[in-house]
Amino acid sequence: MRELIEAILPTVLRPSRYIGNEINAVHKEWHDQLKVAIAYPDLYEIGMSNLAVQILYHILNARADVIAERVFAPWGDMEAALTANRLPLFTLESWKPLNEFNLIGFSLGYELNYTNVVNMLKLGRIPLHRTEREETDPLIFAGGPSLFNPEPVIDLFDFIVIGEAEEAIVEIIEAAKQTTRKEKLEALSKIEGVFVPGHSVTVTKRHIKDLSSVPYPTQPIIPFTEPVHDRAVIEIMRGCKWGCKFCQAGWTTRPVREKKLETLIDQAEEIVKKTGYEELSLISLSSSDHSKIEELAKELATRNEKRRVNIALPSMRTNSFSVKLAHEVARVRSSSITIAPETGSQRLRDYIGKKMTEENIMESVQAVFASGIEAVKLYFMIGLPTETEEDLLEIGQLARKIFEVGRCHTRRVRVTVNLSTFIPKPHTPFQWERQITINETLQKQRLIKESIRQKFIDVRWHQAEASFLEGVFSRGDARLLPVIEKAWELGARLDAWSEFFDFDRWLKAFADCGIDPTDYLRQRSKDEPLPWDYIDSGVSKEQLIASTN
Amino acid sequence: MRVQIKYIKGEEVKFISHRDLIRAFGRAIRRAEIPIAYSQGFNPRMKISWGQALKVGATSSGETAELLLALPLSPSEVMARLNHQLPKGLAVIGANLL
Repeated sequence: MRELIEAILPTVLRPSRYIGNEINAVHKEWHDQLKVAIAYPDLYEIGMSNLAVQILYHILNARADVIAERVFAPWGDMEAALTANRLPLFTLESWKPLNEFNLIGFSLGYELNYTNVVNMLKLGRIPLHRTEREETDPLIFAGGPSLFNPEPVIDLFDFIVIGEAEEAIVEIIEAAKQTTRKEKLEALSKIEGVFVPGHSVTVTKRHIKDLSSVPYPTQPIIPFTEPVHDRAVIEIMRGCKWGCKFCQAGWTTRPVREKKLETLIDQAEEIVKKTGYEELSLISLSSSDHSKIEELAKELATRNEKRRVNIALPSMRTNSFSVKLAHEVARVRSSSITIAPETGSQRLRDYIGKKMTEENIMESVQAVFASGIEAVKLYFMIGLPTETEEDLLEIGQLARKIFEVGRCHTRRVRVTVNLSTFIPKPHTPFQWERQITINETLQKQRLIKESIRQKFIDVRWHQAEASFLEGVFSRGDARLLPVIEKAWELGARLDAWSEFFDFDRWLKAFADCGIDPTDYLRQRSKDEPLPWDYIDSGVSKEQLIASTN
Repeated sequence: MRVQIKYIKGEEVKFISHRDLIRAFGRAIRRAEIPIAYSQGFNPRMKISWGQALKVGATSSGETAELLLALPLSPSEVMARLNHQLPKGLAVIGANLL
């Protein structure tokens, strides 16, 4: 098999996606350890930028009784080469076929990756449905944000993990050491946060009490080929106190937990030394909420000045404090700044629970332009509940106001308006809302585009058909798995990539299965059962209902 | 001071591109705390001149590169520190002052 792989590697794009051996990658000799494949259903460059992959790889390989290896979705050329040479999908570290592993865990964060899961299992020669797997087949599991509604893909998995996995993964390893498949599944079903179809009835989200006490990958794998996020990352807190009604991450990652200042400084020092990265990014859902953010950022800036490491603070609240702090600690001035007002009007912003005022926005952009930055990217959603044409027109008005502020500082000001379609997500106060149709999306995009005729304000949008599918699967049910499989048969994979995405294929798959996808976009009544009712995210339906107004 | 290094690109890394090899060396130099000189300007770069790119898939035991150091460090120390930090398949087999 090695020779065959060696022969195809020179024929595919970026072969280093498939071969391992990066700095900090762990290559162990195969003995009787438990073999775990960490599977990410998208390209290497995306998966290697995913913190969960690095965290689990680190925790698992720290154990002598486990071998953890990685596998990603192959690009089209690699899939063709594997198929033509009758090669199975293999892991990066030891080039072993997927079906030689005991456990294969998928990280799912985006619904358009579902066909990649099917494709990877097929290429890995593993029976697709849990009910078809036999005693010697690997146990296939999944975790990640998409699993807060697992129904469309639940039949692919022997078990799933809801919530944060740092502690659960250790218990999973112990359970997987049982002798028979039945014993393993029984042991797994007793783990908090784990749901075993056929055994479990409900499941409660797992979360870490003390973030400072769990292992953090301060020696992450450094890809050879450039990943989407090519920098060292320190996670400073989890959860978010703001409660925007549309934001699934905000509701499902509660409660808010900070990592201790001393822990953060130690981890930052270590990761910079062990990686050699030029940038250190402090991440969370809302970094300015960390009680020690100013102290932390300034201390890290001082320590890293001579090492030529830039300190980046993405995801800060939009206000002049954040802009000034980010500017103060950055070695390299960013070329642009991103602000997410979400809506054009203050009325709608208040309604969706986004606690940001136009005053906050204007004082921030004032500070941004004053610091020498010439480009501002703005993120808006269209199709929000109660939205009117007036709300949409105010998007252009806000962009123009920002543009005018920029004009006072520089002739080269650029403002970008990014439009995404609002997708009601499970476990949010908006989970019962209607999602707009493809036609409505296109109309709204056009309306905004036509209301903004300035040459220096660029309007971009997320593809309406992709948002439609994401919406269908986000609130989907078990009837959708046959559709996913059908779409896969028709050739759908790498749907998150515009060069591969083909909506007609999906429409055909829905039609063949006799399913009207638009039905999944409808408004739900508050008393109707929802497919994800058996997942307890930590926030009850009553709390969500109370937060809708 | 300028140090010329001779290095091998072995089996483990023969499929990485020249651009990726340069990135891997850059990070190793930073981890090894070698006092490399940087260019001036908005986007400072390490002052290294690289030899011709190898074809992807090819190994070599005699590639060279020239490092410009901002502070003195003996060639043998440059070699030792780099070899401690380079990924498997990349190794410096000689270093001398130019």
